[in-house]
Amino acid sequence: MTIDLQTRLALDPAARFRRVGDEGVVVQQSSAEVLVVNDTAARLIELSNGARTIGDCAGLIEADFGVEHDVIERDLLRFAQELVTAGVAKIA
Amino acid sequence: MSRFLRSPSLFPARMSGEPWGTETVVIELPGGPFRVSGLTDEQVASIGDRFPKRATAGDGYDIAVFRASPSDFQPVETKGWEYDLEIDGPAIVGMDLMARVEADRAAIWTTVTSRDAFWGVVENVLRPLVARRLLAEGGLLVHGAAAVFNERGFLFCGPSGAGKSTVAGLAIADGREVFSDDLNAIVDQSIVPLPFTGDLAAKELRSAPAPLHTIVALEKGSSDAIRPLSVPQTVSLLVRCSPYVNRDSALGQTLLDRAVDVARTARGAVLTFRRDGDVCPILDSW
Repeated sequence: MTIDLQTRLALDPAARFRRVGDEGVVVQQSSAEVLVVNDTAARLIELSNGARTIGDCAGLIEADFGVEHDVIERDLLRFAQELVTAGVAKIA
Repeated sequence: MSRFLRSPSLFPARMSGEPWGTETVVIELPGGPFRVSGLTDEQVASIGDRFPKRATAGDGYDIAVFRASPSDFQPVETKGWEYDLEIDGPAIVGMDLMARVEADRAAIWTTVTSRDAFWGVVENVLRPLVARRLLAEGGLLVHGAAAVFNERGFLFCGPSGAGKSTVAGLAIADGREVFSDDLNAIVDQSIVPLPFTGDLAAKELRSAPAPLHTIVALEKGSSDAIRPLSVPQTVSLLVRCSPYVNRDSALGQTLLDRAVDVARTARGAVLTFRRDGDVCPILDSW
């Protein structure tokens, strides 16, 4: 599957997320797998409500983090791929 | 559930049946007490061999024990086989065992009555039951060994093969008090004794709680060392090592929140150890 800036993500129904300080913990309950994600990926999960595109999220996160837009977009596309591959996020 | 049952469709839909006997005992465990009824004298003795019993009968979470027919169960070849219960919602199935576990009561159907085996049937129901009830009551059941260093409780978490029993053995060899080497309860930020052991005998275990000081991930290596583990990584470790409830989607957020609470009030560490090493001085000074 192709993930690009127009892709909309949502947390998988069997996944649970909790922010812990500057990181986040995601549990995929169908497999009892657990991921620890960095601040940017945690923010992506928080913003991914099935309606926002990854591009929308990049715009919001850029304002939060003060990082170059290209860098944020590249990081978010990589995180999105990892979250989908791990089964904790799905394409809406 | 075809691994253990000849006809899975005949799994009891209601908590009824023919009791084995008329005796009742109350088991005192975290998440309990558990009031087990329908027992023979031999089954009562078997429970007393393994679990702490209350001297007088009283209230508790009710577990009724009923007869099952040997023809209900498939023969199981156990040579070289690791026993793993089948759990599907309220239903638990294992060797010579069917159980239905609801929020307020449970029932066990079994063929087993002998003193040396019946407690195992009960324990196979109590383990997931204690996990669920502890989580509901503010505690946590963790797959790990535990030991006491300078009156501080250390919980060594990990899956089978991680080295839990090895570390527990190193602690015993050094004269330290240990809890179970398989499953331990965290209640009010203390490690509370449980009789759910792996290789250790119940008589080897500490009987009083100890304040939880450090949650430890185990790592086999060529030298003994310890290093900090971040709070998020400690949360991850606790969730991965919370058996039975970490695959229950209805309990997921509660489990995650509980793991965060526990990890924020205890320290987290990674212990690298040798099988014949000496980890006790490292843990004493941590």
